[in-house]
Amino acid sequence: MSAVASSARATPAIGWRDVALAVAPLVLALVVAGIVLAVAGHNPLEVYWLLLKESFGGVKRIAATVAASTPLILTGLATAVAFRSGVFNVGVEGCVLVGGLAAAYVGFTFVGLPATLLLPFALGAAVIAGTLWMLVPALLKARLDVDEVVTTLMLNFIAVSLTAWLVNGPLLAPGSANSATPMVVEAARLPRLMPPSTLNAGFLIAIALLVLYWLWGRGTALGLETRLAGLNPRFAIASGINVPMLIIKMMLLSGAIGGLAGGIQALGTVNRFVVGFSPGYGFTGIAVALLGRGSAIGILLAALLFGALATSGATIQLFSDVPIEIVNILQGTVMIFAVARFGWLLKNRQGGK
Amino acid sequence: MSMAEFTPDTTIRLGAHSVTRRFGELVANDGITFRAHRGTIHAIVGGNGAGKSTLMRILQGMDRPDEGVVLVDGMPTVFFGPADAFEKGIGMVHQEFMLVPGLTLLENLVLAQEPLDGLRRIDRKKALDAARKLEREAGVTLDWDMPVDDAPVHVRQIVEILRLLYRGADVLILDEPTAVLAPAQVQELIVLLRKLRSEGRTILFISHKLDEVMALADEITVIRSGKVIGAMKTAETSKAALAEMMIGEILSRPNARPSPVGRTVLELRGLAAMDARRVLRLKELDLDIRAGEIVGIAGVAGNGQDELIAAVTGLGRIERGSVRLDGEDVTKLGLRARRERGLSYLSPDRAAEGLCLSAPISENLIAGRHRSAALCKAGVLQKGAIKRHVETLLDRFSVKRASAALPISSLSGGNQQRVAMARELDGNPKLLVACQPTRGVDIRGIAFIHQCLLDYREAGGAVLVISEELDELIALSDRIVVLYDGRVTGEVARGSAKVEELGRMMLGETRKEVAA
Amino acid sequence: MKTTSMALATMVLASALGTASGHAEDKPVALIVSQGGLGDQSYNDLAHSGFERALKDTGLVGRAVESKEVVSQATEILRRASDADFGLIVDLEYAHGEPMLEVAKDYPDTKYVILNQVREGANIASVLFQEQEGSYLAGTLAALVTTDTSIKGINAQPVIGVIGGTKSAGIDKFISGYVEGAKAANPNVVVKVAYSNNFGDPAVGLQMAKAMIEEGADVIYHVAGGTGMGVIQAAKEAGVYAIGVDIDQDGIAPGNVLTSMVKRSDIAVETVIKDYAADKFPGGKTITLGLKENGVGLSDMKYTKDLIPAPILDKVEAAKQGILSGQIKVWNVVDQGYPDFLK
Repeated sequence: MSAVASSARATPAIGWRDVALAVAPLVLALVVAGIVLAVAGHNPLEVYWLLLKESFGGVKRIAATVAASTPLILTGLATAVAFRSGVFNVGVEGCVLVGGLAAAYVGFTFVGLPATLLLPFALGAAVIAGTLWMLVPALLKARLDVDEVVTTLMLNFIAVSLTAWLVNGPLLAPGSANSATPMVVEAARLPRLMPPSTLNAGFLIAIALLVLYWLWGRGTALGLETRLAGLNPRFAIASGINVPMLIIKMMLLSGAIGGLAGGIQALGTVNRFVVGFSPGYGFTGIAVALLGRGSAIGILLAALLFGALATSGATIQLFSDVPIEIVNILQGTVMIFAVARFGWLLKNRQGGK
Repeated sequence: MSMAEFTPDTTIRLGAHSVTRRFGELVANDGITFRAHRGTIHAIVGGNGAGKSTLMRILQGMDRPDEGVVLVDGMPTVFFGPADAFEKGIGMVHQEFMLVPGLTLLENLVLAQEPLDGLRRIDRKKALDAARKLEREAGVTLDWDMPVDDAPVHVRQIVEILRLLYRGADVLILDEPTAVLAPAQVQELIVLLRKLRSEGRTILFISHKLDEVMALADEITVIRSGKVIGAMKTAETSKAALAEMMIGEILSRPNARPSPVGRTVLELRGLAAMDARRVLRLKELDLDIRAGEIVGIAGVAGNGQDELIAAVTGLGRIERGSVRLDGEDVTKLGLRARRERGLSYLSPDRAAEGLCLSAPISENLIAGRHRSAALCKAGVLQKGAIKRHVETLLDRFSVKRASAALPISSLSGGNQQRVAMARELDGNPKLLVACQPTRGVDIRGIAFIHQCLLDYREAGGAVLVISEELDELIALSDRIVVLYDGRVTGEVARGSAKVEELGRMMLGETRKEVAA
Repeated sequence: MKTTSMALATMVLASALGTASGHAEDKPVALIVSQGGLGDQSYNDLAHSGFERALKDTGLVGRAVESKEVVSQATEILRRASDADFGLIVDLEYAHGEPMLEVAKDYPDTKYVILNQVREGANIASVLFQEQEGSYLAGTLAALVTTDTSIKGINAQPVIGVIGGTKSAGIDKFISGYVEGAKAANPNVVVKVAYSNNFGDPAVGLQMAKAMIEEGADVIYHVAGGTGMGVIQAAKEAGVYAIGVDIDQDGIAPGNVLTSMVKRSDIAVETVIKDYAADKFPGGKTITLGLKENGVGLSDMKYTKDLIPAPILDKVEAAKQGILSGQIKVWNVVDQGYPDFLK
């Protein structure tokens, strides 16, 4: 566990070793995917250049990348706050879904309200939905020591089915053949920062939360307690820190941020809830948190990386024969190398028990 | 000597000749020689840190001596790893059993050497035949179809032993085998080991429990600080003599000023508690500690010390009894609430519980007190105040460091312990529970920590010291309470404590018997 | 591979520079694949085959775009394709209706196609399928079969069923056509209607279909996506008949899928691309693909046509001719609201 929080501890400088460890998965992934590309008859350098252009070549593309990164910053952050307390919450995906649906519901139901009320109301609903979604696994973990990896993972499947059922039935948009809610009203939508790009105020919220996370980790009593509990729970308990309560708080906070990610996606980008709403933001968030090694700046960079792959992966198909599978391989390989750390952390955790 | 002159004494099944093993400055084994004869039970006796585990590693081929040789069948032998030692018939029963969960006892017995039938499946009949044969040899009966997970701990231990026999070992090394057993089961094990001896097996038995050693061993080798202190036949020695050899002389006498003793700070009544395996370890304990008093707990490990610590700190649950802290009943309160009421706790396990090794020195120093009004306002840590506080404490406890922001793992063991001590004495606690306060600390550090404890006592603090170092207890304690089998078997006041007397009390004799 | 991408880049560039002299129909075509992606052996693959055929026949260059994030990146993908000077963007993703409206306004020279819904805009063509027409034929066939006990597995009761994925106009369009066709063929037939409230759970489909079979239904039509796989499974287990939907599902349980009501999304894509190439792009219009346009219809019934007596097949063919000639007007729930026979 120490590794997740290590970059956040109050060491005077981030060592080269940290940087190397953080960048290694990306480099390895580029090499592996490069081999696959070469075997498939593509020039890897050309493809990588094209990916780079499609993700950062010009203001519009950068805006698209940042827009795609916004939910990932939030899910990465949601995962990181739980990881930091030593809790392996893999249920952020479920929070994204229930949060997204809650925000959309408020956004198309309370249509009379002005934006100044409706928008906070809808985002608040997302936060509450995500928080409540984590309540049961939090209590099970803190009170009965039920493994949170299992409970939160299972809750993801429940969230997928529950939201799908709701948008196919009770919340289905009238006349729609598709599994989608009605569109949220204009007043419930997050303002766009650089129209026509979908980049919206949600990104500012995400950045603000990242900054708060950074300050929280460095300078608050709760941040210190969380870090100590994550690094060595026995020590934290013997020091008089209420570790079970801390675990509950952090899991609920994780759920709240996950729900907010869904809410921002619903009110800023998709403007409704629809089946297929999240292409696995919660799961990519795990990779973001691991690749970013739990630090605020790391999460930002990792989210930008995955956001860049998502945008450029879609649009390079307009300009080359590279199939989406190649981009998926690239993304998957980065994840595997990032998640390899996760396995290592899990093993350490069990060893520590 | 040349090979021509050398006539091996083939009655020696396993032994060591002048085995020395160094780790840097530390000499873990210093010219150790012993001989375990074929068909006998040989005990190696020594306290913590005597060098037993290093010797064990060498005897099972996991380590090699810097000087000297291992003897197998009287011949000097070099092992090429544990597999080679096993090849030569030497098997080790570890404290942590190596059985595979989810399999039955029978499957575990034959694992890796299963008798197979024509279809390459385990031949159950053959396996069971082998098991029955071993049962007869060992004089036990087991339910072989029981899953390992359901088997009680002593049954698992027996399977572990039989497994070594099944795979061809005839020398068994047992490392503290009774540590996990209840008294009745210890008797069963003794019977089993005697039976194996009568079948011609050789047993090397490592222990610091002298009762068992006296009951079981044919010959005994006592080691202390890496050296052999004595070797003898069991019939020619006594428990008292062994205890004295094992514990050694007292180096220095306490130099504590008498301190006025005040109100009762800790009051334990009728305390009973179980260990994690649900064995009753603490049976009936009454104890008072008053302000300005250091009370030491002496006892062989596993006689209820861990449960006593858990009961006093609130880290563990108790079965019966009550705990009062400064007059208030805290029996039902957890550690956090007891800390708020003036408890301090210096953990015996510095690496896993006492400190957070990967966290900075400063955070280790303030953990638990980080929410005090001076260091924290509205949930925000006050950087400047914390820095000043940390530097003051580190200076006062003379902790050598490059920066308080570095991980505490960058400090030496002695300095780490100073940090832990500094934290626990910060904030004027009423009671300090100090467990193994100088474990892994060098001589200068020990003196410093002892002085800290004595100063705290003089300032009116109450201290409960639990230590495996009798010297330490004698140096620090106003009273030493001896714990044996979960009960207090004796109490001696400052100045009147004698090592040999304590040693005998630690082995279960009450003071009265000692006196008589 | 490299040469094609270079050729495309050159072409895009050339057309971008020479918009004044060039013809709009020269610009390349993008196909945006819906959730599920290519390889779904269903809607996307079928549409993609029409896309490929059209490119081959017209000589246009085209690209198919897939993305896991096709829903959340809707406008970004549409804008990028528009910016890159694609002349025609055919979008298979249902959730792209609103984003397309937004993007199409900003690129008046680019043409857009959306399927299964109507979106207003001078440069948007909407494609609807007359599913009620194909469903009418399915209902006709089902009603005729259910009373013919000479067919293996058919009981004497005039009971058939239909299971919809959800209660909505889009689904009831199928169901009303089916009921209307059945009643026209045999006014005494009883049509059991149920909704699974789920498009992805075969277990639910299996249970609901079993219940219907116990009540005497021996032909069950499903309009329920993946849930329908359970309906087909139930028919197979009970030795009765299911009717598939969207694509030819006859092969899923050969002999137990009576027929399938096929929606030819490939024809839809092929038709609009060819119109575009011929400078006849139906911007601002709604194309309705019915029986006449071969946009909907029954499958070839490869495994079942020999089981069914010729007179029945003749009657189904007669119904088809009736619709084609305009003698039969099948009720369209989406345009006309709910008919009296479906409450």
